[in-house]
Amino acid sequence: MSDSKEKAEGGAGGEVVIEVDDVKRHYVTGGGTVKALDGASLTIERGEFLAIAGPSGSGKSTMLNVIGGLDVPDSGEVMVEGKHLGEMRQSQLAALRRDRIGFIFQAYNLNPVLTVLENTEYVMMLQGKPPAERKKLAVDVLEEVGLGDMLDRRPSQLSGGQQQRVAVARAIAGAPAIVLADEPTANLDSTTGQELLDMMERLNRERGVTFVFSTHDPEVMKRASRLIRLRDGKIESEERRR
Amino acid sequence: MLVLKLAWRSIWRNRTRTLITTLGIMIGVMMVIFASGFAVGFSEKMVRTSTQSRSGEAQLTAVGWAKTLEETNVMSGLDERLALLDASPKVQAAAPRIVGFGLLSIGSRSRGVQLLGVYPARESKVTNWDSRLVAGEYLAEPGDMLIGAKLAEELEVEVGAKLILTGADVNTGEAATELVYVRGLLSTGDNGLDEGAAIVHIAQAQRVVGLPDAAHVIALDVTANTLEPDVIEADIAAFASDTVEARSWRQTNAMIAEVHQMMGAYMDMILFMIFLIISFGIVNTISMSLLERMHEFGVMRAIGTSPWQLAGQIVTEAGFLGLVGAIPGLLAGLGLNAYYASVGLNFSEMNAYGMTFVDPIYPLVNVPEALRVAAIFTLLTALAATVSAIRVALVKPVDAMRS
Ligand SMILES: Nc1ncnc2c1ncn2[C@@H]1O[C@H](COP(=O)(O)OP(=O)(O)O)[C@@H](O)[C@H]1O
Ligand SMILES: [Mg+2]
Repeated sequence: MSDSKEKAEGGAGGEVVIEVDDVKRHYVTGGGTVKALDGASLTIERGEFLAIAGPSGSGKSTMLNVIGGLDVPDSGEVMVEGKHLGEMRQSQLAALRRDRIGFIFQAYNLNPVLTVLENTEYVMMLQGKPPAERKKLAVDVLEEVGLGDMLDRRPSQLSGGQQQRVAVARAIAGAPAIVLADEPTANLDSTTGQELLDMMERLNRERGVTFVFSTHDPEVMKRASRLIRLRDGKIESEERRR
Repeated sequence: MLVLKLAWRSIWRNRTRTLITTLGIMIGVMMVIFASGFAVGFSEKMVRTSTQSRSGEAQLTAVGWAKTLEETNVMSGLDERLALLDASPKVQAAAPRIVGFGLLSIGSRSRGVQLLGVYPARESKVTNWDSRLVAGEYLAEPGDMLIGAKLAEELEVEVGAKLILTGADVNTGEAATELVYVRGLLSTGDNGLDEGAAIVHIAQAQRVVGLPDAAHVIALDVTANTLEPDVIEADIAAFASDTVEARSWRQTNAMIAEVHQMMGAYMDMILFMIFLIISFGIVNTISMSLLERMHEFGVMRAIGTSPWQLAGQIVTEAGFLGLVGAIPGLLAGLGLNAYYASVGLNFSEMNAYGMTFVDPIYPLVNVPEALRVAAIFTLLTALAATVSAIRVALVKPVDAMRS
C-alpha cells in the first residue's frame, strides 16, 4: 500500500464486474466538509464474496450506494459490467439495478403491504416477466432460502431473520449479477447472522452471484473471500481470505 | 396486477386519512351529480314550459313574419296546409293562430293585449292551456275568451265577465269591436301570456283584424322528441317553401334554447370549481403521505423501480383514492336525484327567463352523465397527484432512503 493511487485489485485474474476509480463523495455540513469517500479505488471480479469493513462513518454505505448508482460521486468513475454509471440517466440506472443488481439493507426494507411472495415477485414484475413465470421463480427462491411455507405472510408476521431472508430472496430473484448488501446482519443476533451468511455464501457459490457486503462485525468479516477496510473514505487495507 | 394490489393496499395504510380524502371526493361527486341533474331537469322544464305554454315545438309562419310581426304578412291556403300537416306522420297536431293586437275594456278600465285567435280543439293538442286554468273552463262557444289570471286581476274581472274587444282592420285601419266573455283564467308560467294576452276563437280574431281564412302562425306538436331540435328541424323542413318558414322551438325561443344549450358547459364549470375546492385537500393529504413514505420510495428505486414506474404507482394510488370516493358519491348523487325526481322540487315562486315555474322541477336521473362526472373526478384526483408524484419520483434514491 505504498502508492497513493493504488487500487484494491481482485487479483485472481477473473472478469472485472465492478470498477471504482478514485471516487470522491464529500458533504458540506455545518461543521465542515465530511469526506464520505475520499479517492477510493476498487476492482471487484465476478464471483467474489467481498466484505467492506470499517468503523461507523468510514464510508461503507456511501461506497455501496455509489456502486449501485443510488448516489453520484463528486468525482471519479464507477463502472458496472463495463458501463460507466456517470454517463447513464436515472431510468437507465434503474434498469441496471432492476436487471443486474440486487440490494439488501440493514433494516430489511420489505414492502409492508405485500406478502412474502409478492415482495419477491416485485423485481421480476418490473422486469416484465409473465405472472405465472415470476411466481414460479419466486416460490423456488423462497424455498431455497427456507421460506417455502410462508409465502402469504406479511413482513410484520416474520422474525427479523426471516425478513432478511425475504430481502435476500427479493435481491436474488431477478437473477442479478451482483448483490450489494449494506450491513445485512447488523440487526440480527449472531447465530441468525451466521445463518444468513451461510445462505448468501451458498447463493454466491451455486449461482455465481457476486456479493459485496459491508460490516463492522469481525465474525462477519471472517466469512469474506476478500476483505477491504475503509477508513475516512479511503481504502486502508485489503486482505484475501480464500 | 401487482401494481394494482400494491396501490390498493397502500391507500389503506392510513385509513383515517384515506377516508377523509375520499369523503371529500364523495361529497364533491354527489354535489355535482345532484346539481347537474337538477340543472338539466330545470333546463328541460324550461324548454317544455316555453313550448307547451306558447310556442309549440315548431312553427310555420310566412317568411319574415317572425322578425317584423307584420300583421299583413300571413300564410294563405290554410286549408290545404292543414290537410298536409294533418296527414304527415311527423306532425301530431297543427294549430293555426292569428297574432294581432287588441284592446280589452270593461267599464272605465282597459288594457292593450296581444290578441291570439285559435282553433280551440287544435290548440289544446299543442299547448297545455286547457290544463292551466285556475278558474273557469277552456274555450267552447264563439265569443269565449281566455285571459291570464294576472290580467284578470288588473282588469278586476272574473269568469263570466263580459268585455269589449276592440281591434283594427290591418288593411283599412278601420276599428272593429266584438263582445267577449271571460270563459277561463290561465296561469301558464309564461309571464307575457299570463299578463297580456287574450285568447279567442280564430274566426272572431280574423274578423277583428280583417284577415278571413288566414293565419300568422301554425304551431306544431311534432312526433320527434322536444329535446331533439335537430330532428324536429329535419322533420319540418318539408313544410317550408318560398313563402313559408318552418322553425323549431330552438329558433322561435332563441334565448331559452341558448340557456338550455349552455347548461352542459355551465355544469362542467361548476364541476371544475367544486373539484378545485376539494383538490386543495386532496393534494395536501397526498403530498403529506408521500413525504412520510419517502424512505419506502427510495427502497423501491434502489431495487430497480424507474422514476416513471414510481410516479405511475403513486398516480395509480391516487386514482384508487378517487374511485373510492367517486363510487359512493355516484350512488349518493343518483339516489338524491332519484328521490327528488319522484317527489319533485318546488320552485313555484321562482321567476326566470320570463317564466314562472308553476310545476315542481324534477331532477333528471342521468346515469351516463353521473358516470361521466364520477370518472372525471377520479381522473382529476389522479391528475392532482401527478405533480407530487413526479417530484417524489425524481428524488435521488439515496436522499429518499435517508428520510
Ligand atoms: N447526506 C449526508 N450529509 C452529510 N453527511 C453525510 C451524508 N451521508 C453520509 N454522510 C457522512 O459521510 C460519512 C460516511 O457515511 P457512511 O457512508 O454512511 O458511513 P458508514 O456506512 O461506513 O457508517 C459519515 O460521516 C456520514 O455522517
Ligand atoms: Mg452505513
